[in-house]
Amino acid sequence: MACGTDLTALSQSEKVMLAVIQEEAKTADDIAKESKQPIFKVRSGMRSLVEREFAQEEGEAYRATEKTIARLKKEA
Amino acid sequence: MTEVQNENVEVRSLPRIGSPAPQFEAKTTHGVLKLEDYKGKWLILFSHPADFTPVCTTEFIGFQKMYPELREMNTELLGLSIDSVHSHIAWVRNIEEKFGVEIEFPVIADLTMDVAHKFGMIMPDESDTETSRAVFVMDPEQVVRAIIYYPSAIGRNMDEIKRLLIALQTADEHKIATPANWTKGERVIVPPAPTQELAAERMNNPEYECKDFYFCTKEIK
Repeated sequence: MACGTDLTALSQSEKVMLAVIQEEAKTADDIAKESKQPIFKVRSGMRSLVEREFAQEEGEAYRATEKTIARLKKEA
Repeated sequence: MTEVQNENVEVRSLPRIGSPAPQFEAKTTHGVLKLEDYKGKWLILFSHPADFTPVCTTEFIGFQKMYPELREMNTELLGLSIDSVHSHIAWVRNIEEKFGVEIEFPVIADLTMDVAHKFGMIMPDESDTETSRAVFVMDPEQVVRAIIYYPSAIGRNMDEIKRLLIALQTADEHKIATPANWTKGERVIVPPAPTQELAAERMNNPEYECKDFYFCTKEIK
C-alpha cells in the first residue's frame, strides 16, 4: 500500500480477541463465542495477528505470544 | 500455404446457482478476508458501482439497517466495489457523519477486479471499470443459491433480498418450495410427487391442500 501499512497497531477488536487467548490456546469458534465477535472476523483477525506475530498457532488453536501478553498488561 | 496461428483465450466460467462460489482473498475495510472465513454462515455478497455516489449510498444505508436482522438469521453481509480501501474508509465515515448510519459490514476493495471477474460482476456494455449491482446469496457450504443483477441507475430492494433469503432458508429447513410473492407465515408449496403412487397418496393427505396432484400447499408449523 502507498506509504506503507501500520502493522504495529492493535484495534480494540483485536485486543478483545487476544485477551481471550492470553491464558490458554483456543480455537476460532471458542474465540468467537467468548469475544462475541463474528466468526469471519475471528478467522481473518487471527490470521493477521499470527502474521504480525501477536499470536501463534497451536494446531487448530491460537495463543497470544509472550510479547503480546506483556504489551497488553502494560497498556491495561 | 495457410498459416495457422495459435491463440490463447481465457475463458471465465462464471458462478451459477448450485455451483460452489469461487474462493477469493481480498483487502477489505475489515482487513484481509477470505471467502472461507464465512463458512458456516449464509453470506450475501453484493457489488456496487462506486463509492461517494448517491444510489450506492442509499443501498449501503438499506443494507446496514437490515444487517442486525440478517445476523440473527445466521447471515453475513459483504460489499464490493472497484475502489481503494482508503476510498471505502472515507466513504463509510462520510455516511456516518452525514446520514448518522454506521456501516458495520466489511467492503472489499477490489482494485485488481479479481473478485469482480470471478463472480461476473462487470457488465462491459454498462462499464468496464465499475461493477454492476450484483447480489450473490451463498449458503453455509458456500454454494451459490441465488443471483440478482440490477443496473447501475436503479437501487435494489432490501425487502426482496431479505424475503429471498428467508425463502431459501425456509425451503432448506422444511424441504419445500415457495410460491410467487411468498412471505413468511404464508402457505408453502409441496414439491411434486416423483412417482404415480405418491401422486395419488398425497391427494388424501390431510396436511395438504391440493388443486391437483402436482399442485399442493401446506402450512409450516
